[in-house]
Amino acid sequence: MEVNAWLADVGGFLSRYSALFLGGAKNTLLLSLLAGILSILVGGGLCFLRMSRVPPLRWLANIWVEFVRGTPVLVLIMMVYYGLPLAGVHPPVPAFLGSWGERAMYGIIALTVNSGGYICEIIRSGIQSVDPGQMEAARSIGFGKARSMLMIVLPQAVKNILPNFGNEFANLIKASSQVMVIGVAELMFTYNTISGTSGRAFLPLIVIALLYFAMTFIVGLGVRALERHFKKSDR
Amino acid sequence: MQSNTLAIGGRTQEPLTRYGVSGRTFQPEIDPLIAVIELRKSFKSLEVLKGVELYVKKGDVVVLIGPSGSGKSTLLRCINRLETIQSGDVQFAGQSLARGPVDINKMRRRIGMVFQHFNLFPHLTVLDNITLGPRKLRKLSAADANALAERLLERVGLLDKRDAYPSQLSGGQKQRIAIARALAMEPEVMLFDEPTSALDPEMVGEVLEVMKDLAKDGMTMIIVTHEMGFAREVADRVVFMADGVIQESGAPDKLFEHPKSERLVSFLGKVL
Repeated sequence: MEVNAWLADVGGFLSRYSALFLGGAKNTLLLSLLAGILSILVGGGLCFLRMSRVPPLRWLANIWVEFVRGTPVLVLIMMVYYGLPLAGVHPPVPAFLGSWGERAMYGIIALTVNSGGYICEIIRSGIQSVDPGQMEAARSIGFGKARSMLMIVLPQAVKNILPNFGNEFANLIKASSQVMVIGVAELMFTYNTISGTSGRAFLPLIVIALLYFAMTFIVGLGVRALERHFKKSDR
Repeated sequence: MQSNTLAIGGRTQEPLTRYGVSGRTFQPEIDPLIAVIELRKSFKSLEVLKGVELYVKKGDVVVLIGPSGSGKSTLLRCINRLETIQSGDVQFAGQSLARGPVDINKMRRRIGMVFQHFNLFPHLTVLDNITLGPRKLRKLSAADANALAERLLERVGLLDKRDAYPSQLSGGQKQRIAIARALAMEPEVMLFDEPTSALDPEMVGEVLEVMKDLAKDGMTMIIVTHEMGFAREVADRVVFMADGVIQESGAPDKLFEHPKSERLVSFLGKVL
């Protein structure tokens, strides 16, 4: 009997707040997706700089990576949120982000700065895990550096890059919870509203945790499927 | 072959110029295809090549022997500039690879290289390994490139492996494919960097056979190897290196039967 009462209670809670939870989860996904795509571009670019022959470019990438490694995401988010307007930088806000767009953009920028640094390192170590003889063989045939990288080294590096990409995306989804501090209405942000109106401190956390778990789990499945795909073509 | 006339000390034909651009054009009949001039190379504080001179005429088969660490591989890798040329020069068909404007990628198409560890592309099939260069660099059509690859596969005796991946091949097979891949660019010279050193003993023969066949066809070859029997059989000239310099060079019979330098005597004593 007590179990039934408990179930009814939880059921009532869920039906009452599911729209809020799901809305938050949707925003979390949107944030993470945008930051994820930008991180790959930024990380790829940084990696290019980091392996460049021009020392100042290498330094720039190194400083970025070390800065990100040594700075908590929360600090980074607040630095971007308060720092960019001070510096007079106003990022363009895509219309589909809606009324909370500007705050969301600051969050996305901070997450991109963070993940971009890590992705740079992931790509670099993936490239370095490929036997240098592969580059030499391609160059000895007469291919230039860029083509050797694109046709020979990168396809082999992907195998080592993918699992770490999966980890980084899971991290990104989880780290995005911290943009709640600048008032972005993502999944963790809904906790304040829901716990405040329902008077429950713990139950919403369980729902939120499960939703984060579901998202990162699905990312993991996707990455594993991709890994299998690449292994097939490689044997 | 008149290779001895180009050997160290007995050189009759000066290279075009010792450095830089010359007034006259390269003449393949009299000029060496490859001229290594006063080549020096250091890794950090370790000097690996201490002024090496080597001239190779078209059609010559030159075998480099010597103890490990003597600079043989480094010398070979300087010839297609896989190692930067720090001092001195390497000239290919009269063109300096170290000085002046040179499109090294274009030059490398004319210089085939075979590595100790094969370095086949593991994500590509045997056929794609061989046709990649011809298709992308020589701009052959897929059909032409495939036909070329099949001819080469036939030549190295591996036509049945055309659709296999490198991981499905034995070491000897991999190396024969690597040779075919280099030949697909129709190079003017082939460089072999210890091509049989990473092979199980029973597979050495099949690779050497392919190389002998190439030599017979008149391919210009520079080979770093520890296979003394092979050196003796195919080399027009054997070059003995130790301590970053060429100690002695000459026809194989002369070098193996009547070694002059102390170093060579002791080296041969160990390997023969």
